[in-house]
Amino acid sequence: MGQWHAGEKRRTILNDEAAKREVEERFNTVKRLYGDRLDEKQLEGVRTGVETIVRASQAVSAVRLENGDEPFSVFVPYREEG
Amino acid sequence: MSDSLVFKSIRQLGGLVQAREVSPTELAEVFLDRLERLGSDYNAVVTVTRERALREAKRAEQEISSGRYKGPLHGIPYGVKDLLATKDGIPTTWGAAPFRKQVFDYDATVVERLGAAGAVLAAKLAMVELAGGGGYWQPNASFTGPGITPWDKNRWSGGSSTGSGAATAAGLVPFAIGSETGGSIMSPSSNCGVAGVRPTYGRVSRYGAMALSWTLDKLGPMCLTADDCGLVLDAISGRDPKDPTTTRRSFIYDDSDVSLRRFRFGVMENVTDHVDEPTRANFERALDVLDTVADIEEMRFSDLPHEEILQVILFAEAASAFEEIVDSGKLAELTAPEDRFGAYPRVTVLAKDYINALRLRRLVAENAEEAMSPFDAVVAPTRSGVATPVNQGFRSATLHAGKDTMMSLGNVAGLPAVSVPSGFSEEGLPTGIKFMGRAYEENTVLAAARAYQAITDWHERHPPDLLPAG
Repeated sequence: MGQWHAGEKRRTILNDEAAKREVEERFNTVKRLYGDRLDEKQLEGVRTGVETIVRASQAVSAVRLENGDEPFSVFVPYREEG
Repeated sequence: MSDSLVFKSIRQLGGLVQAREVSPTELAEVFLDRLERLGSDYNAVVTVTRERALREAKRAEQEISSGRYKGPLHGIPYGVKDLLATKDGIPTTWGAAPFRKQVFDYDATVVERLGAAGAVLAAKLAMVELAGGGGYWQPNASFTGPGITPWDKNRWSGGSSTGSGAATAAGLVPFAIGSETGGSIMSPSSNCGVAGVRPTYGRVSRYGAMALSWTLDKLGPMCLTADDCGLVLDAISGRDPKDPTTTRRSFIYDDSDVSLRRFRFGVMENVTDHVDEPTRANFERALDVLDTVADIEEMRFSDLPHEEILQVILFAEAASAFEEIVDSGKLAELTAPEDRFGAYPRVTVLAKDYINALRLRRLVAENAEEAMSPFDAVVAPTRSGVATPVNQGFRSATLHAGKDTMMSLGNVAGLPAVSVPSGFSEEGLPTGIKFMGRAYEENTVLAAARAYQAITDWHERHPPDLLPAG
């Protein structure tokens, strides 16, 4: 299992331009799926929401993880109790 | 007699019921009347379950008369956040207009367990629509109106367990059940000046509860005292095959005397940097008080991106949990304008980011365990400020924009916490202090909160206009 060290970063956070492109690409996905039911003001709110998600995702991605660092949710095969 | 039953603790009411000085039916009538008469003042109630309450009260009365007393909850009325399924044709609305007529044909496990303990379901309590699943920005985000704290009708009670906090603080029920995914028990407990417990993840079954985020959702009690929270948690906790996340570690409430116990508390460095003045002042006074029963040391957690990890997990799971609601177009019927589009962006969370957040969650949990292991609890202000005005947005307009590390870390790592009142602002608004412990240490944090309440009287103060006459 890998170790996390304070301040250690896995990779550089997307620069502003790359982040803007990322936001636009994801925003366009929402617009394509649901745009017909949202007005302009709501779409601006969606864009803000996408920015929050991209920022959070970048912060998560910026922390170094080792290959062996597993997700905390562990799959357990099911067997009926009793 | 009836007025004198209001604002009594479960422990006190249970004693009266056991001694047959008050009957469960009398108790039910007192609180049903208050729910019906005062509930709308605080937008705290969705449905008063009068018929079911009187039926359960009568059954409790018969059991007690025949010598089958079940314990301190027997015959005690309560309310549940309206995201817990209830049968008997009682609606379960999730606080959301599109679901006002939703009915289930079964009781949530928590409701079943409280029934087995003899408690009496008196109300389904108001909540922020979809428990905040729309991403609300301001208090007016429920079809029952903005939750109002009984301490000031212009201030918010939530959220998202708005009704559970307000109904308990207003003496409409002796206790209530709330839920927390990212602060929804702690926040209303602080805003309403009551005690609330966020149990360890998996301690309480969520079967029959609306899912917002499967790996973050928790159910817990909101009461007048920490001791009462222990009594309720004892009844609702435990393994449930219907909720595979429930732990096999048992919880038996330890209510032993804490007067001779000396605690060791940690305080996160710079914890008051982003809190308002009354909250900071009351927290510092609370530390002075706690100094008489504890050794207190500064500590720190890792600088992992706790809030962002919480967001990614919550957004990804909510996108799945609410996929049908989103696709159906029902979001357009929600009360808060921002909730009508707030869930759409979540479809853009990438699978690898969700998985990475779950991988970081282990590091968060391991780091928290190491940082907290020297302490019985880490203490902090429950919220960064007093209750927000009901007509004010709290995300953009907040003065206290600092990250709430204790909230994010505690929920990501699934750690237990108890919030109790720590004082009031000059305007008479309550503030709270939170004791957060290591996983499965509910008894330790409850003991700490009980020790604090034994040497303070904030929990004995109630909204002046709601006190019994005379």
